[in-house]
Amino acid sequence: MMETLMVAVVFMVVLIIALAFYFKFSLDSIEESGEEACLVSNTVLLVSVSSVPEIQCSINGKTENCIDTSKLIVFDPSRVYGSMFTTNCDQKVYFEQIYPEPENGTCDQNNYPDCGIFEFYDPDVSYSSSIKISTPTSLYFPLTEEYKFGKLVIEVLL
Amino acid sequence: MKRGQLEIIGFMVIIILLLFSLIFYFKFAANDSTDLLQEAEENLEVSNLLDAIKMYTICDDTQMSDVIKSCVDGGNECDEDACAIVEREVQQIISLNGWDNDTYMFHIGDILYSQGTCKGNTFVDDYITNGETIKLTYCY
Repeated sequence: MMETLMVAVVFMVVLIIALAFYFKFSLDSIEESGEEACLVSNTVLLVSVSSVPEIQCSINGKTENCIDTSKLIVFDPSRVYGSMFTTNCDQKVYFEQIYPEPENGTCDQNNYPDCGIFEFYDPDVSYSSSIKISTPTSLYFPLTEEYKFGKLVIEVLL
Repeated sequence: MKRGQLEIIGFMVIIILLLFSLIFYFKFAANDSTDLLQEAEENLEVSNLLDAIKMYTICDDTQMSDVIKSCVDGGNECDEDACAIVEREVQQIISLNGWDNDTYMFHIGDILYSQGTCKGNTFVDDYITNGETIKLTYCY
């Protein structure tokens, strides 16, 4: 009788430890899956933001693989493309001129085109850390008819 | 201890080992998809970078694609040797994109216009102008 009880106790202890490990791994993997789903949706966003027709270059009715900064400066994506940004995590989206190196910071209608950062979407939420993913892009300035080198940056807010 | 109890303990050990192996399997299976995502991002980056290089304005109405075309023909653009412009500007753009010299190669035909060569797994994007293949290779 005593031996059976001992076996049952040892069995229960080992089972509890195994379950604790299992749930810890499960929880970690669920958190990882959440972050991964967030990164996947934002990688897709990298492609889809570049193809938004309202900001894409269009010369003589023919679209080009670049971003028209004069359209970018006046376009508010949250009105038309709000659903594009309601994925499972918040993100800031902006275009950054890299080369030639710009003189000033964030662009608005007063300092355009002498500026370097074109904000596209900002959820205006507080966050503790962020992960940046980016892709190279060509920025077109119709006033000077110049194409400059830039990046589309998505800052995933955690 | 009776034989039956020993058998139960043995069975229990097998179950626990099976549980742990399943946990490790799923953990490593999850890592594979992260690699896939990173590969997709890098592939997109190579393709977009070559597009951005092609479109970059060198002077007035002259884009890098025009300069590359002149380089193939051995000509000048913006009062300078076209191939010298390609070598200088491509390196500058790629370095500002955050790539080290030993992680990429930029070829016009068989001629290398970047500082280093690289080996290993690669992502490549290319296009053809004046019968020559313009190729950007990223090694990882």
